[in-house]
Amino acid sequence: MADTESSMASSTEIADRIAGAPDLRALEALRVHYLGKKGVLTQAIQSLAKLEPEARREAGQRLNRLKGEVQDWLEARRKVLESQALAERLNAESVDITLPGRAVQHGSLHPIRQTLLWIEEFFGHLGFEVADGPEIEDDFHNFTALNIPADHPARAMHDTFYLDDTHVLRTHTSPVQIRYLESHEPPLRMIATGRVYRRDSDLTHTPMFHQVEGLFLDESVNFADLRGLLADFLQAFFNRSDLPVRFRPSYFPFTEPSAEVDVGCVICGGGGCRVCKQTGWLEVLGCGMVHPAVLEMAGVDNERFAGFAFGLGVERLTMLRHGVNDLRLFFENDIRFLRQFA
Amino acid sequence: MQISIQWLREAWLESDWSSQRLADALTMGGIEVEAVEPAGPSLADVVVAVVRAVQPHPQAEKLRVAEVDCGDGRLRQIVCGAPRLYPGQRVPLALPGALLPGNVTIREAELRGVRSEGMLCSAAELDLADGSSGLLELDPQAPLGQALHAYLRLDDEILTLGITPNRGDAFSYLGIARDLCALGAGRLRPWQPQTPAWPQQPQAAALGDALQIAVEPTAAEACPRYHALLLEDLPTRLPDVLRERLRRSGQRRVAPVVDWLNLQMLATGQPMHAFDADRIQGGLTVRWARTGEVLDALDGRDLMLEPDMLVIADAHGPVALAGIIGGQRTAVHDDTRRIVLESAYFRANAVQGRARRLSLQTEAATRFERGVDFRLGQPAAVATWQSMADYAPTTLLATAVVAGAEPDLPWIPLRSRRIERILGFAPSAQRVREILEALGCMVEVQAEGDWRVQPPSHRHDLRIEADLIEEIARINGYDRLPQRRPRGLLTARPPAAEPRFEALRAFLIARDYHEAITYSFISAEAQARFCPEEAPIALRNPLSIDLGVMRGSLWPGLLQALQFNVNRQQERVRLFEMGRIFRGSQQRLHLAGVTHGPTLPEHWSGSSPWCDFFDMRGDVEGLLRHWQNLDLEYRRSRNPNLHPGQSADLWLDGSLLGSIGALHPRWQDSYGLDKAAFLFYLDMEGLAAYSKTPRFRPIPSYPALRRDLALVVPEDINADQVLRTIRGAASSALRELWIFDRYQGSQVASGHYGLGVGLLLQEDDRTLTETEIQGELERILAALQALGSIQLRI
Repeated sequence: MADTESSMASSTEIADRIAGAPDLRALEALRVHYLGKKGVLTQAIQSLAKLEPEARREAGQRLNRLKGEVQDWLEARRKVLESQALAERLNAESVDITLPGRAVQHGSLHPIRQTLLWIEEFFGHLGFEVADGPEIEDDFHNFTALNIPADHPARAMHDTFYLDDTHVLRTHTSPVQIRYLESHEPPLRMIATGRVYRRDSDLTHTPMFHQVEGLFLDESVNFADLRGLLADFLQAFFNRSDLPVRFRPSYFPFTEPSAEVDVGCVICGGGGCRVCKQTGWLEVLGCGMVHPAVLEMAGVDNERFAGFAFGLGVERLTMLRHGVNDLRLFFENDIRFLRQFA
Repeated sequence: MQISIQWLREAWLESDWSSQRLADALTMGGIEVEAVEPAGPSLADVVVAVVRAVQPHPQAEKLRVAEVDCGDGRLRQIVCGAPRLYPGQRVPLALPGALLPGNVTIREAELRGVRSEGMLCSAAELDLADGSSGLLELDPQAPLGQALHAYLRLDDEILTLGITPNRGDAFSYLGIARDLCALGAGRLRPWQPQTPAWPQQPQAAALGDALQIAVEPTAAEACPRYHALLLEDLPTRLPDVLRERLRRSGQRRVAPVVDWLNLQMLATGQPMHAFDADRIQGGLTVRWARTGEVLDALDGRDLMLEPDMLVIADAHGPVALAGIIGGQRTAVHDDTRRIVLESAYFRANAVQGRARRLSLQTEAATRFERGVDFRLGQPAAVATWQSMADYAPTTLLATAVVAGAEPDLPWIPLRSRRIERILGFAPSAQRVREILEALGCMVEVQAEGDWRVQPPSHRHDLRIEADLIEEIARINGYDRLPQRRPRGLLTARPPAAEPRFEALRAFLIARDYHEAITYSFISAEAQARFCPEEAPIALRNPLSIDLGVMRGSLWPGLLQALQFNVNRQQERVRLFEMGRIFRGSQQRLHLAGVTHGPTLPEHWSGSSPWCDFFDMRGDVEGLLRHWQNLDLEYRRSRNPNLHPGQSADLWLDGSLLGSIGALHPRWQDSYGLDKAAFLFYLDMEGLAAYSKTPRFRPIPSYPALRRDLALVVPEDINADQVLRTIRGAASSALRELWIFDRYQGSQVASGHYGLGVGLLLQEDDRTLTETEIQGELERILAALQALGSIQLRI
C-alpha cells in the first residue's frame, strides 16, 4: 500500500503535469497514465482490496477524491487545449477579406436600352401599351398615312433611306401609331420604341438612332393633358420636380396644334452653355394633337375621339441624363464605355 | 432664313420691343430663333477713305502704292495688292492700331521697301464677306473719314430663323413683321406701292411692241397670275445699304439686277425672275414641259425636263423652270439693257417635288413649294422697279398681266366647343375674333360660338378648323394655355408573355455580357459572308458601302464591335445584342452574342482557361431555360463561318432556332483576332411559340435511387444519341439523366470513348425495388446495344 502510494506523485505534482500538457495528445497520454485500465490511479484503487477494511476505507476515500480531482483537471485542461486548437485553426483559415471576389465584373445594359426601359416603365404604369412595328416600312405608313404627301416639303425634313420605290427604312416611330390604329379601337394609349433611320452622319447625327412614340386617344383628352403628362415625364426623367418645361409652337404634318418641348438646360441650369447654345433651353421632344387627317385616314371618328401624340429622341435624352458628350459612343460598343453603365 | 433687325424695324415693323423680346416672341410664336448674332465686328479705326493716286510698287510687280485720303487733311501712303485699285475709289482703310477680325492688328510697316500707313480692306478681311472678292468698294457718296462701323450701321443684329415647312408666308421680312404684329409687337409699316391695278388678259398679253406674254390654257390652273414688266436703264451697282441688307439676310451677291430681285423676294416673299429682254425669241409662254426638253439652267447644269414640270418658254424652248430656276440663254448679263421682270404666282402643287427631283434647292422653289401670296405679284414687281428707280434711271416701258379670276379662298367653319375640346380651354368670342383678325383672317359669326373664317391670301396653311385652333393657341401663347394631368380609362392588359426580354438580358448581364447596339446595315461583303444563301436587301442610297445592305445576321456587327475592342487592348470581350435581322420579307428579332478571352476575368486565385464551345453552350442553355423545357437537338452546323468541329445548329420540331460555335479560324484574321471567338444566336420569334408556364408536379415522397452507368461508346455515336436512347428505353421512373464523365485514352479501346451517365430513378407511389431497378437497367442496356456496340465498362 505504502508502495503504491509512494510510487505515485503528489496530487500537486499531478495537477502540474496535467496543467502542463502541451496538447490534446499529451493530455490523453496523461489520462491513460492515471485513469486508464492500467493507470496508476486505477491500479492503486484496485489494490485497495488488499488492505484492511479500516485502512481501505480511508485510502479509498482519499484515492477516489484524487481520481475525481484528476478527472476535473483533465477536463479543464482539455477545454483549454480545445479552445486553443480551434483558435489556431481559425487563425490558420483566415483569409484576406480585402481581396476581390471571383467574377468581379458584371455586364451591363446599353445606356440606350436603360433609357428605353425607363420610358416604357413610366408610360406602362400609366396604361400605355408598348407596341412594335417593322423597321423596313412602306411609304404609306411612314409618310402618306401621317399626312405627308409625296411631294410635300415636309418630306425634306426626313433624309430617307430607300430600299425601292415603295419601301423605306422608317424615319420615325410614328408609323407604329398607324399600325396600332389599324388593329385597335380607341380609346387607347400606346407607346412604340425602337430604331429609326435617317440619311445623315456627322458629329450630332448617326444614320440610325432610337425614338419613342406615344399616342393617347379618347373622348376627352386634350392639349392641356399633353402638357401635364409631358411635364411630369420630363421632370421625372431628369429627377427634378422644378425642372422648367416649355412648349413652343412647331410643325409636324401629323399633329395640330404641334409643339416642340424644351426643358431648362440640365447642364448649365439655364445660365447658358455650349450644350444649350447659350439659350438656357434644350429641345427634347416633339408633340401635338393628332391631326384630323391622320385620324380620318385611320378610320377613327375624329369628332368623337381626339388626342395627342409625342415623339422623342432617345440618344439625346440619354446623353443629357448621363452627361455623354459624343453621340457616336453609343454605337461603337466600346466596353470601356458600356461598363460605365453597369 | 436670316433677318436684319435693323431692316425689319426700318421698313416693316414699328415696335418698341427690344431685339431680345422680338426674338423671344418669334420663338414662342413658332418661328424658332436659332441664333442672334451681331451684324459685324466693331472695326475700330477702320474708316471710309478714297484712293487719290495709284503708283506701281518699285520692288514688287503684284503690289501697288496708293495715296489715300480719309478726310483728315493729309494723304496716306498704302501698299496694296488688290487687282482693282483706281483713283476715286472709296474703300475701307484700316489705320495703324486697327484690330481686324481674326485678331489682326494693323501697324505701319515697310512692305518690300515701301512704307505703308495702314491697309485697304476687302469685305472678307472685315468679316463682311458677301461673296465678292477684292477691295470692298463703297458708295461714291460715302463720307470720308467716317468710321466704317457707323457708316455701314453695323450696330444691328442678325436673327437666324428656323421656319417650318407649313409657313411659306414667313419666308420674308413682311411675313415675319406680320407675325410679330399678330403677337403684339407693334404695327406693320405700310409698304404697298400706290398703283392702280393693271389691266389683265386671260390668256395672252403684249409686253411692249415686240414681246408676247402667254399662259397656255392647260397651264392656267398651275399659273393663275403672271405679271411681266419691261424695264430699261438698269442699276449697275448695288448701293452699300442694299448690299448690307442682302448680306445680313444671308444672301450671296450675284449681279446688281439679280441682287435687287433677291432683296425684294426677301422683303416681300415674292420670288421674281429677270430675263434679258433682248435675248427672248418672240415672247414668253407658260406651259408644261415637253418630253425630252432640256433647260440650260443657271447653275450650269442641263436639266432634263419632265412633262409635269411647268416652264417658261420662248420660241426656242424653255428659258426657265417655273418658280425654281432660270436658264442661261436669257440670263441677265453685264451688257443687258432691258429686262423682262417676271412676278408670277405658281401654285405650290405645280412646283412641289420638282426641284428635289432635279437635286436643286433654290430660294424661289422653297417659297413656291410652301405657297406664295397670290396677291403679291403686282405690288412686289412695282416695289422692285421703284427701288431700282431710287438708285438708277430705270424706266418701266411696258407691263403685261395674264391672269384669270383670283383663286378662291376657303371659308372655314370654327366652333367654340371644338376649340375647348382640343385645347382644354375656351377663349372668349372676342378673343377668338381678335386673334384671327390680327392674322388677317375675315371672321363671320354664324351663331353663338360658331364662326366661319376666311384666311388671308398669304396663309396657305389655314384650310381646316384644326389650323385655326392651332393659330388661336399659337398667338395666345402655348405657355398661357391650361395644363392638367390626363384622365383615362383603366384598361387591363396582360403583361408580355414569358420569357420577358428583361429576364434574358439580365441573365446575360449576370454572365458578364455587355449589351451592344450595332447598326442595322452592314457591308454587302459581310452580308454575303454571313448569309450566303440570302439575296441582300440593299439600300438604294446608302451612306457608304460599309452600310450598304440590311443585316441578315447580328454576327457581323458584333464581330466588328469585338474587333473595335480588341484593337483597344480589351482582350476579354463579351457582348450581346437583341435586334432585328432582315431576310427576304422578314424582319425577325434575334438575340446574339460573342465572347472572346478567358472564361473568367483575371483573378488572383488562378488563371482561367480561354472560353470554349461549352462555355458558350452553357450560356445558351441557361438562356433556353427561360422557355419551356425544350427538347432541342444540337446538330453539327454547316454554317461556313463557324469552326466545323466546334459548332452546332439548334433544331426543334423541324425548325432551326439558333446556332452556336467558334468563329471559323479562317475569318479570325479579318477581324484582327489571334485566338478563338465564340458566337451564338437565337431566333426569338421561333422561340416565341414555346412561351413558359411551368406545370407543377407533386414532389415524390418515396426515395430516389441513383445508378451510374460507365459506358464504352464507339466514336460515331454521340452523347446525345446515347441519352436519347436511354430516355427512350426507360420507364417513367427515370426522373433525371446526366453525363458526369467523358474520357478518351488508354483505358478505352481506340475508336471509342468512355461516358459516365448518371440516372435518378423514382416512383411517386412506392419505393422502387432492386428487381425493378435491375429491369430498368437491363432495358436501357439492351437499347444501347441496339444503337451500336455500346458496352458497360468493367
